Amino acid sequence: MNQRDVDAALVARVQRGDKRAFDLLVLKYQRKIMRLLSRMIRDPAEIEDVTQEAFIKAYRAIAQFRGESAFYTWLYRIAINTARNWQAAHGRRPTASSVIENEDGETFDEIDNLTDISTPESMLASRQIAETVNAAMQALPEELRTAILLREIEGMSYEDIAQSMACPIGTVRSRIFRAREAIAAQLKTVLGDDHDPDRRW
Amino acid sequence: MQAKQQQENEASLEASISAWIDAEADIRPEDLDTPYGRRVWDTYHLIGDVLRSEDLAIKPSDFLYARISRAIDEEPPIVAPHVQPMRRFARAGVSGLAVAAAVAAVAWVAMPYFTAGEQTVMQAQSQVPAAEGLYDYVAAHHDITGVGPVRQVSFEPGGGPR
Amino acid sequence: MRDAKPVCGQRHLHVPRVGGVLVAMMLAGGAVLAHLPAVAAESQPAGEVQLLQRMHKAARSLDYAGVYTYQQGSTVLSTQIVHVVDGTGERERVSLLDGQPREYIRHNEITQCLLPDHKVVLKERRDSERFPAVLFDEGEQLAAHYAMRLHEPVERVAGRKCQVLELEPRDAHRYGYRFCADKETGLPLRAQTVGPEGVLIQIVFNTLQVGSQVAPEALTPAWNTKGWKVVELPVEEVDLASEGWRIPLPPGYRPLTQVLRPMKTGRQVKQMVVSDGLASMSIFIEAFAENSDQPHAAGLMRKGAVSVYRKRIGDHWLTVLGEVPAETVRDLADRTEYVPLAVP
Repeated sequence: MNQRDVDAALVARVQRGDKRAFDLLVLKYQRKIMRLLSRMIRDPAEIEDVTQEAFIKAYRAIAQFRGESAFYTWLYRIAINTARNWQAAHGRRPTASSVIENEDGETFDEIDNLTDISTPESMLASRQIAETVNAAMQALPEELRTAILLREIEGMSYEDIAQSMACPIGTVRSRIFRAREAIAAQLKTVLGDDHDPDRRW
Repeated sequence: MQAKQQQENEASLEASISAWIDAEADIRPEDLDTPYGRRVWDTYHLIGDVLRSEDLAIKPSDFLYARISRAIDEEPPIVAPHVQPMRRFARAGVSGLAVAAAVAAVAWVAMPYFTAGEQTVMQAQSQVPAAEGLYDYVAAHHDITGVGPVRQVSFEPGGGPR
Repeated sequence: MRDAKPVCGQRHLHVPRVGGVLVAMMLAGGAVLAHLPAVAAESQPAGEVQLLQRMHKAARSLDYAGVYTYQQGSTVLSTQIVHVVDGTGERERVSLLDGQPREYIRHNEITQCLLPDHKVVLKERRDSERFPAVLFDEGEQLAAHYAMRLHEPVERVAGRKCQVLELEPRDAHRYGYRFCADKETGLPLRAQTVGPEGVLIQIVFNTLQVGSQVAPEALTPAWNTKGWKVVELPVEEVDLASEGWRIPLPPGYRPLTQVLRPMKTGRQVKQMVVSDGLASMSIFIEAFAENSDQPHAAGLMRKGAVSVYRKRIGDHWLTVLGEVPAETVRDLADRTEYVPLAVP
């Protein structure tokens, strides 16, 4: 199994009628899609509107998704098209001065208003999230930090990490899990409580 | 003591989700089908995203996920294809070659629906010998099973494409 | 002028139809796409089955365009096809290059036949719900009725290397088939229906472009259908068995669909289509009427690769036909019985 298989398994469940499986894909990719759209749309509220539209379009088309490409590649194209349509409908045209590519291999036109598009509140929240994750990482025992970095940054499999760290695979699995749990515990306060009635999980 | 604690952790929901995110285990779908499970899923993905790129440290408004989720709920249910070897004829149906035949075939059998009152060559059917009148059966056959347009030629009175 | 804006069908949430020219090619001359065995029969090496599955998948999921010819007897007809898969599924455009201009535009399960001489768009939907749900169970295998063999020498079709897969019938109830699958993509480049006397039908690509060579603009229909009449044929399901029809099928053949449909002059005819996965037959049943336009000649006829047998059963006319040996349609008709339930 690899990453594509995780998405493929979820897509298969969606195609069989499991709507909650699609929610998991939304949760997984909503940040990446929002970042993508923030290159093309200025207003944060509008970014979220178009994000929603992109996911709904993807849901509607998902019966025809056959897995020839990675799910995220497919979703990415739908998001770009949704954003372009939105721009056209709102009379906005990006001026493409150059194409830049980020670490995920996503490309987009650099537009002339790549200024800060966040609200003060969301800027604050973003900074807090980033700082909390960094602080939590620093506080981790080294073997946990190494394990999660090898997994998340280097993209190595548990087996390869086990070889690299000279420990059993079960230990790798445990270290990555405990690293995540430690960071998640720190993030709880930043991400907000779970008693908000509007928050729908 | 600590080992036992660790063991309990390993068996926990969070540990399972952690392994599944890495494609290193199979998840039981019901594990993720709870609000708590989804929150764990979301948080773990956030961690990975932020580690890779700080500009993914985005906190969508509380409403975004809720809106999307509700909108999905309101969508009609999906009926999707089996990806395994074909089990349903309906999906096979009229294929491209059938198309060519279907175009001819369907046009033939659909005549009454759009040629009422018109004089067309195909209506010279009273002059059609009995055997030639089989064309519409073959057309109906190919409409569903699909073959090339040759039927139009071999069965049509007078033969040959116009 | 190619500014056509075709009449589009509504988006369907039903299972999209799997199909396409090349899928049909795989099932040469009148065959129906059906279950491809996931597990090979004991005596059947896995390579043949895998190639079948590869052809099947390639025809559904790749972008390709080209011109193919259909040959049967002395007849040769050329057709152009464009097949593109995008985020919304399969799109296909097939144009007849001989005879009257016709185009067929497909988007998943919605098909539109464009008839420019009548300015008519014929719309067809192949809804999953209109047909029996599961028509082949996992156990049904082509290998039970065809001996499959991969040929070693690589052939060249449309300038591309391809491998020949032969399916030889294990009995006399069906013809044989030969495919040549593109080495690079798995697309079927040639399909033949083979009878005792040789090749009966051949469908073969003359030119082919694959993948990035295919321009999605080529999907645009040749005509602007604005203002054309849109016609949808009424077809409904029937259940012949419940009406009292006993139609014993040759080994391997299973019913695929049963419908009531209008014929040329509007008279209603029941049609059952059966298939073994490659070969297929249609059984037509209609009320016998003295002064109608029905052809009344009974008996066995052969036209090229199609065998036809007609007989009268009580107040009904039975017509059995398909790209199968003549004895097959005749035996089926002769064994068919009509046993209507007594009205209480």
